[in-house]
Formats: sequence, structure tokens, C-alpha cells
Amino acid sequence: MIHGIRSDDIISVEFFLFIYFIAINAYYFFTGSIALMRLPWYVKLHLADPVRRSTSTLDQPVTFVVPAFNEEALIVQSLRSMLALEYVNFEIIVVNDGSTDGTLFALDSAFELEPYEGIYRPGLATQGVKEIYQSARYPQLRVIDKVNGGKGDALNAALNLARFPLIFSADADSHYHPATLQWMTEPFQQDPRTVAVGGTIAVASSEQHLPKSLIKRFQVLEYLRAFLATRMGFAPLNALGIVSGACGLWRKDILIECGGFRTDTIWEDMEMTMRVHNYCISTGRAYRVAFTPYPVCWTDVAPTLRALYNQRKGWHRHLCECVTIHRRMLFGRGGFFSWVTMPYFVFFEWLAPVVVTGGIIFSIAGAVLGFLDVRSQLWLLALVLTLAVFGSVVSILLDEISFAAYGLGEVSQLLIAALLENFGYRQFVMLANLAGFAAWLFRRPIHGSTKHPGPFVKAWRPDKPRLSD
Amino acid sequence: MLFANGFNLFELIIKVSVGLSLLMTVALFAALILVRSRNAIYRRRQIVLTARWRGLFDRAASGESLHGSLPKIRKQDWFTVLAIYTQFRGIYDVAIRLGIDDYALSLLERGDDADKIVALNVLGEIRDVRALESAVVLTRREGPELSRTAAHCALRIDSSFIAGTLRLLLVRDDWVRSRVEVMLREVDANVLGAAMRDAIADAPQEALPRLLDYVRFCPADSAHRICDDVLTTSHNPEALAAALRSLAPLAQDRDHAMAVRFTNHEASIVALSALRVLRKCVRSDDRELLARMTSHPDYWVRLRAAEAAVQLFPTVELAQAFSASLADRYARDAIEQVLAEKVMVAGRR
Repeated sequence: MIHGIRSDDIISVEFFLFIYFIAINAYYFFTGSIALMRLPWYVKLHLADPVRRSTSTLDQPVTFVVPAFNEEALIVQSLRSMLALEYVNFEIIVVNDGSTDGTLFALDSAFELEPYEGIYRPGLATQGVKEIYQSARYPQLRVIDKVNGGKGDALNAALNLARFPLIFSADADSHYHPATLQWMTEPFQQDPRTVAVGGTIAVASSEQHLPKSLIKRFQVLEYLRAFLATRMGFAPLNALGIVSGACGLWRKDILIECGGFRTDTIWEDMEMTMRVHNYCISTGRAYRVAFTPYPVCWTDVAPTLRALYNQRKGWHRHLCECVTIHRRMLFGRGGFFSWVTMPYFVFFEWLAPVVVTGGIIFSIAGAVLGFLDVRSQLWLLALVLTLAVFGSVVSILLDEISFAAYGLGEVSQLLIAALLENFGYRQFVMLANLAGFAAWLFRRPIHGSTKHPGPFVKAWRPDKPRLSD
Repeated sequence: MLFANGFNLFELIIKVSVGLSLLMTVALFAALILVRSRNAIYRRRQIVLTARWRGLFDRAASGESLHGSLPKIRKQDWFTVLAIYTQFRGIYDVAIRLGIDDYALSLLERGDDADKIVALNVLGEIRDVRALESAVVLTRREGPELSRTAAHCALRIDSSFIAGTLRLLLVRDDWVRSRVEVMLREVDANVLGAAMRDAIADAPQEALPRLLDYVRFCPADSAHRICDDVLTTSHNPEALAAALRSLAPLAQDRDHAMAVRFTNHEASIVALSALRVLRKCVRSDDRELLARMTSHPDYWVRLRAAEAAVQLFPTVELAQAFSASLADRYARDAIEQVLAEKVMVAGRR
């Protein structure tokens, strides 16, 4: 007994924390290894085939859906990149989801909006649609002006107006490669079972290739880890757990069959991905959720700690919502998704802030109260640090053997960031995740997110649908 | 004592883990430096290589005869040179003088999928008959990129392989259609038309729609005949819809009766496609039919019927009057939708 705590309990807690860290990193090692095997093959195949950028009237038409809430500053620029997409047949539907700034005015000034007298079919219930506009300059651009209802609600409104069988969910503050649709529609043609394709998002920077801000650099590392090391590893197993809201292509029929996007979760992308898995598995439908590792979308990341805190709090809350909504998928009959992805989400994402924070408190308390050996704690800390750096170096290596997006100096800076992020940044993100966990647990609204605020802005009663009678 | 032993063992395990992870991190770091250095050298070489070979192939393509000895290609540069070569057309002499054909042939035998794709593109461009047999064998491979490139190569070498290509199209629904378009557009349209007709005559009904989508690349009269044949012989709704879809851009007055007949088909997809044809050859006596079709339960059928109906009226006002005469609100909505689109487009012009 030390300070009233049994010694074998202390060892058990320490051993649990040790095993937990090893298990998390074993997962990263597993997905990273798959990515290391797949990426060079993928890149060489792209280099080998020079005609793969061709586009044809035979390609499936795509509806680009852009929900916007208070995006006055960036939306026009982003839409210009979308309008410049090299693809034969696509339309863009912007949904102004009750913005309180000048988003609609900015759109009108840039694209000369005129009232669209066509029919809006409210197949999916949404908050009221106030007006629909069409650009006089770009006939393929339409704008739905509606009462705020959250991102899922805005996407559903766009689904009601969409004419085409493929739906690209985009963010109003992101930029897209001109060949985005050519690359992302290919999996649908190569495998008719494909129901969704996730694209890779990279961090946008106006200054140079790698942002100067340290917070942004840490986020570059996170994006590399998330897309190249993790998603690239899950995708070949048909176990991709999230198709990003900023860069995801979906079959419209599957979205409709699943009942459209949920409006009672703070975000919608992960929930819809899980629901599609769940739906296809439970109905016995052969399906595939594909992933394209080529970076086609660039997004602005959180520039300040406050914005980052709010963003991560929201992300984690959404994760909490998703794993509880789809808890039956864990160790269910969903193959790799149930046995690889779901355990990863539940044990190493959902519970991570609780376990890690508990571990930190335990270690500090143990050191202060003297029931833990400081030397062994330092060794444990060293292990956590080396494994964290290892994970980051894997993702930098993956980038280097595939797209080599960064120069020598930038790679060095990323390596330094990989070391530095362990001293404060990761703990800060974990704290935000813990706050997200608490917000989910106590159902607290989240305000001030850098992205979409979800359904917590006061919702109005739905307006009358715009049918002619 | 037990506690102390347990703790010591645990600490030992942690120390070993730290050592191992440190070792792996250092090894990975070394690999990163290695890859980074190799990439830096590779990138520099790529710039020089691309400039040199693109320049040389450009000169050859512009008709300039390249006297003297050509630069030697180093082993590690072959893939890049071949990839650059595939972007040019009709410079066979230079390729043969450089030995590009021989190297591509060897790559076809021993390389991985990406190597084989590059080799097939090169050998197809050179029209090297030595590659034909291997290309035909590779068309049966599982990967969509490799099998499609192999078919393209075989087709370039021997245009009579068009029959084989069309047979493959019946089963290869994984080939990206824009690439198939590139492939088919290289074939003489008359040759394609004849082969397409034979392929469609022999094809199973359920596979017909896949081929019918490519009928648009045949000469107009040939495409029209193919669609007519399918419409008179097939009972498969998917095939009928595909044939009507392909017929729509070519529709003439003589197709009117057939289009009207298929608007009454029980399958919505057939009625929908028939309306696309009817839109091209609509007559004033179709007014009643179209008024009925604009109340069809399927939204797209209503919309296509409205598109055809609007063609009947020279002014928007007359179309609006027609809309007002319809009792069904969905029919009115469909007309309103089409008029909205029409007015927007006209306004822009």
C-alpha cells in the first residue's frame, strides 16, 4: 500500500496506459504500412497514363453542392475555382444557410443572380427556402437562400434541387484542382459498386508552400497523418470511416435512400459515411467507399488557438455522436469496417481524450504524491514522444514517396514541427477533444466554430415550399 | 518485493519499447533523408531530361530530320522518356533509331502494371505488330487501366481488333468511358459503324446498353440504323431506353411514330427516352399526348414531356396559356420549370 493505493492497482493502471499507447501506434503502423505499399503504385500508375485527364460527354454529370454560412470573405474566390473545373457536365448549387453577413450580396455582385423560376421539389424536409437564384453569367450556378438549419439541412436543400446522379459536397472556403471531378468520378466508373469517393485535402497557404504559422504547420502534419497514413490505409479494406465534407463525391440515390443528411448532429460527413456503410451492410448491398490520395482540395485551417479549440471541440463532438448512433456496427457483421475502423474510432478516437487526460493526471498525481517512480514516468513519456514523432515521420515519408509536395527546407521544418507539436499542441488539441466529449455528454451547444455552426443557431419554422400553387 | 519486481519488469519493457521505437524512428528518418535526396536528384534530372527529350521529339514532330547520333538513354531514364514519347504522334523513325520500340517490348514482358501501360502506349503509337499478341492477352487482365490500354494498343496496331474491343466493352463495365471515347474516336467511323452493328446483333440483351452508349461515335446513318434495329427487335427496357437515348440527337420526322409508340411504354425509362426523341420531331397533334405525359408520376418524364410541349409554342405566352389550361399542378410545375430555363438561356443570349 502506498498512500492508501494498492501497488498492483498502480501497476495495472500503468500497464493499461502502456498497452493503450502501443495499441494506438500499432494501428497507425498498420494503416501506414498499407499506405506505404499502395501509394507508390498509385503515383506510378498516374504517371504512366497520360490520357487519363481527358473528359467526355459520357462522363456522369455531377452536382457540386456548397453550403455557406457567413462565408462572405472567401466564397466568391472559392466558387471561381469551382467554376474553372475541367469537366463536361456539372452544376453548382450554393446554399446560403441563413448567413447574417453579406454572403448573398457578395454572390450577387460577383455572379449577377436572378430569380430562378424553376421548381424546387422538397423531397427531403428542410428549413424554409426563401428564394432560389441562378447566375446570369454562369448558367450552371444556382443559389438557394434559406433559413438557417445547419450544414446537413443545407445539403438536403441542395439535394432537393440537384439534377445529377453524383453529388460533390464542397466547402465554401476551399479551393479545388481543375481535374478534381475527373479524378474523383473515375472510381465510380471503374467499379459500379462505388457509392462514395473521399478526396484528399491539403492545407492552403497564401504565403508559400508551407504556412509560416506554427499552428498551421502542426495542422499540415495532422492532415498528412489523417489522409496519407490513416485514410489511405483504411480505404483498400473498404473501411474508410469518413468521406470529408469538403471533398466527397456521393451517389445521389444512396444519399436519398439513407434519408439525406442528418440535421441533429453538429457535422454531417462522418455520420453520413457511417450510415452509408451501415445501410449497405444491413441491406446486403455490394458496395465500395473509395478514396483518392491525390490532393485535389485545399482548405484554410484554423489560424488561431481559439478557432482551433472550437473546431476540434466540434469535430470530437461529432465523433461522439457518430459512434453512439452507429454503436451496433462495432464488432458487427460489417467486415473490416466493423472490426478495424469502428474499434479505431471507439477506442482510439472517441475515448482517447478521456484515457490520455486520465493518464496525464495519474502521472502528475503519482509524481507529486510519490506513489509513482519519476524515472519510470520519464521513460513512459519518452516512449509516447518517440512514437508520436514516428507517426509524423511516417506521414512525411509517405508524402515524399508519393507527391513530394514539400521542398528540402520545408521537410526539415515539418520534422521540427513533428517534434515541437508534442510540447503543448497535442495536449491542447486533446483538451479541445475533451471539451467536445463533455459537450456531447451534457448536450451543450458549441459556438464560434471556424466552420459551420451546426444546428445551434436559432432555427425558424419551415417556410412554405416553393411549389406553384 | 513483488511490487518492486513487477515495477522493474514494467520499466524494463518500457525501456525496450523506447529503444525499439527510437530505433524505428531513426531508421525512418534515415529513409526519409535517403528518399528526399533521391527525389531531389530525380527532380533535377527530370527537368533536364524533359527539356532535352521534349525538345528533340518536338523537332522530330515538326518534320525536322535529326542527323547524327541521338543521345543515349540511361537505364533509369527510360520510363520518363517513354512517358514523354507517348505525348507525341507520328514520330516513328526517331523511336526506332533510339530503340524505344525494343525497350518498350522488353518492358511489356517484365515490367509492373505501370511499366506495361507506358509500353503499350508507346508500342500502340509506333504500331509495332510484335506487341499485338501480348496486348490482346493483356486485355483479359483484371485491372481496368491495364486492360483498357492493352485494347487501345491492339486497336492502334490492327484496326480489325475493333470487333474484339466491342466484345470486351460488353463485359468491361469498369473501363472509364472518357478513355473508351478516346480509343473509339481513333478508329475510322465507317469501320466502327459496321463493327458496332455486328456486335449489337450478337450481344446479349442485358449488355446492349453498354454498347449503345458508344453508337454516337458511328456515322449518323449507321447509328440511326443500329438504333432502329434495336428498337424493333429488343424487349429489354434498358436496351430500348439506351437505343432511344442514342437516337435522340439524330432524330428526324420519320422517327415520330416510333417515339410516340414508346412514350406509352410501361417502363418510365423507356418513356423518358422516347420523349427525348419526340422533342426533336414534335408535331402539333402531339399536344394531347404531351398534356397527358406532363402528369406522369415520374418527375423526369414530366420534365421531358414539358420540354417537348414547349417546342410546340412559338412564344412564352402561348406556352404559359397551355400550362394554365392543365388541371394537374405537377404538369404546370413542369412547364414552368422548362420555361424558366428557356427564358434564362434566351436572356443570356
